[in-house]
Amino acid sequence: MSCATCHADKAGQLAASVHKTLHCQECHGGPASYGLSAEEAKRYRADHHALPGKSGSARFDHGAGFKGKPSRRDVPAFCGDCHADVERMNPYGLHTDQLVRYRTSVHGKTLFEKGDDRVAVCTDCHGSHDVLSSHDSASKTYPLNVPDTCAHCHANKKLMGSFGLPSEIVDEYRHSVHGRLLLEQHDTGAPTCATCHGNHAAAPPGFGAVGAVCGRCHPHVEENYLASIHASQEGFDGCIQCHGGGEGHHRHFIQRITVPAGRMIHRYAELLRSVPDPTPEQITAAIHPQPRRIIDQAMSTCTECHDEPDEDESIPKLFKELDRIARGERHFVKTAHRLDVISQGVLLVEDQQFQFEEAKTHLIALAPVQHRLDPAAVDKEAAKLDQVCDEVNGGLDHLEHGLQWRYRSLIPIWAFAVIFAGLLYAKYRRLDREYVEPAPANETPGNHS
Amino acid sequence: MTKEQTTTTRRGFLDWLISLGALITGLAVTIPGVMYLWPAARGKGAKRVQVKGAGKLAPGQSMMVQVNGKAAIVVRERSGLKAFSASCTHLGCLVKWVPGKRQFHCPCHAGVFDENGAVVSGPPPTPLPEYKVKKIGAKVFVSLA
Repeated sequence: MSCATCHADKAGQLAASVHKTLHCQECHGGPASYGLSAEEAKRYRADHHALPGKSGSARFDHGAGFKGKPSRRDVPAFCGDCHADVERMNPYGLHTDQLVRYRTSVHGKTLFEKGDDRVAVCTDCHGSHDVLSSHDSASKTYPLNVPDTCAHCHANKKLMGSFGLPSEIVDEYRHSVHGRLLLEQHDTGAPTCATCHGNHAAAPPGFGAVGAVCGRCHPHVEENYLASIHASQEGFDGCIQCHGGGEGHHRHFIQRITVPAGRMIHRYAELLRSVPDPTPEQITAAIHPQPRRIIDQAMSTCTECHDEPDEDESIPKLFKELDRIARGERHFVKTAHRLDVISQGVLLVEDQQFQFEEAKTHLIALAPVQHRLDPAAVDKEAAKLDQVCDEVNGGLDHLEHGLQWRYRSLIPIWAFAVIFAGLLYAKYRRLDREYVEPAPANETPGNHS
Repeated sequence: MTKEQTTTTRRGFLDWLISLGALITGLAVTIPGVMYLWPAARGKGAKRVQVKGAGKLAPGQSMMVQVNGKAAIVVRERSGLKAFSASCTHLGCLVKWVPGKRQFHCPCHAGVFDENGAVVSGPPPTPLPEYKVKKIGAKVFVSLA
C-alpha cells in the first residue's frame, strides 16, 4: 500500500505539480510503502483523520523517520532542505538564495526573530502539494494571481489589524493604474505587488524611498525628477507625492495624472487662440471655471504647495510644458496614422516604418521630461520626436509625389493610344468607303464562241 | 447560298478579326498601364535582406538593421552572429545591446533581455523574437523566422 491509497487527493495534486517527480517520503520521510492488509487499509481509509482521544481509534503509525506535516514555523527550513541546496538545485537552474532572502524579509524576520507564525511562509504563496510554475496561469504566483495571493493575508482585516496594518492596500492596488493594466487588460508586464515589494525578500532595499522602486521601471521619470526642484524640496515624498492616493500605507492607489491634465490642456489650447500670452489668473479661469475645485480634482497635489494657482508663475510654466508634450504626441499620432494608411496601399514604406520605430522611443521619453519642470528640456526632447516624424513625413511626401507623377504621366500615354486607335479606325473607315466591289468574273472564252 | 452572301460573310469575319486584334492590342496597352500604377504592390518586400557590414562586426559589437520595415539588431557573439527584433516586447521602444553585460536594455521601462533574447527583468512580457541569420560566402542575410 502506497501513501496515495489514503492520501489520494494530495497524490493527485503532487502528480500535477512541478514536484511530480518527487516521492512523498522525500519530504515527509517514512517508508515508500506500508505492508498493510486490505482489511487494515480499508479501516484506515475510512477513519484516516482520526486522532487519539477524538474518535478513540489509534493514529496510523507512519513508521520510523516519518516527519509528517511541518509546523508553519518549520516550513521555510523544510522547503529549504532542497531549495537552499546548490548541488540539488543546479540541474534545474534554480536560485538557492530564497531561504536567505526570506530571512531578510519582513515575513522572515517576524517568523524567526519574533516567533510569530501568522506571517506568510512558503506554502501560503506557492501552495504545498500543488506547487505550480509561475508561468502556469493556475499558479498562485502567476502575475495575474499575485494580488489575490497577497490579499489572502493583506486583505484580512482581523489579521492585518493585529499587526497594525491596513487591509485596503490590495483593493487600492486593484484600482490603481498598475492594477487596472494587470487585472483588466491582462498585461502581465504590469507590476504586481512583488514587483515593488520583492517576493522572497519582501520589501526591497530602499523601499522607504519609493522613488528608488518606481525608477526601476520608469528610469526616464526618475532621471528627470531628480534633476527638478521638487527633488530637493524637504518633505516632498517623491513619486507618490503626486501619483499616490493618500497618506502612509494608503498610497497604493497610484494613478496617472495626465488624463485630467489632458482635458485641461485642451482648454488651455482653446485659451491660446484668443489670448496668446495668458496670465496665471486667465489660465486657471480657463481650465476650470471654479479654480478652487481644481484642488479637489486634477491639481489637488500641486495646490497642496502651490496654494495660490491664480498668482503662481509656475502654473503657466507647467501648462506650457504639457501643451508642448501634447503637440509632440499629436504629431506622433498623425504620422503613425498616415504611415498606417499609406502602408495599406500600393507604396512600399519599409524605410519609413523603420525610421518611425525610433519615434516610439522618443515618444515614451517625452512625457517623463515634464518631471524636470524645465520647458527648455521638454522642448529639446519634443524636437527629437518632431524631427523623426518630419523625416518620416518627408519620405512619405516623396513617395506620394512619385506616385502622383506616375498617375499624371499615364495621361499622355493613354491619350496617345486612344488618338492612335481613332486614327486607325478613321483609316479603316476611309478604306472601307473607297472599297470597290470587284466585278463579277468574266465569262469563259468558250462561252463567246 | 448566293455568291454575294458568301462575300459579305467573309468580310464580316475579317471585321471580327480586326475587332479582336484591336481588343487584344487595347488590353496589351491597358494591363501594363494599370500595373504600372501599382508597381510596388507586387512582392511586399524581400523576405531576406542582406546586412552589409555585419561580417565585419567584432565580438560583442552590434548593429541596427532594417528587415521588412522592422528594426532588427545583429550581434556578434562568441558563437557567431545572432539577430533579434530590436523592438521591446513591452511597448515597442528600441532596445540597445550592452556588450559589457551581454544584455539588451530597453531605455523606456528598463526591460532587460539576455543574449538569447530571454527576459531577465522588467516589464517585457515575452522574449525578443529571434531572426534567422544565414551566411553565404562573405555575405550575411537576416530573415524573419
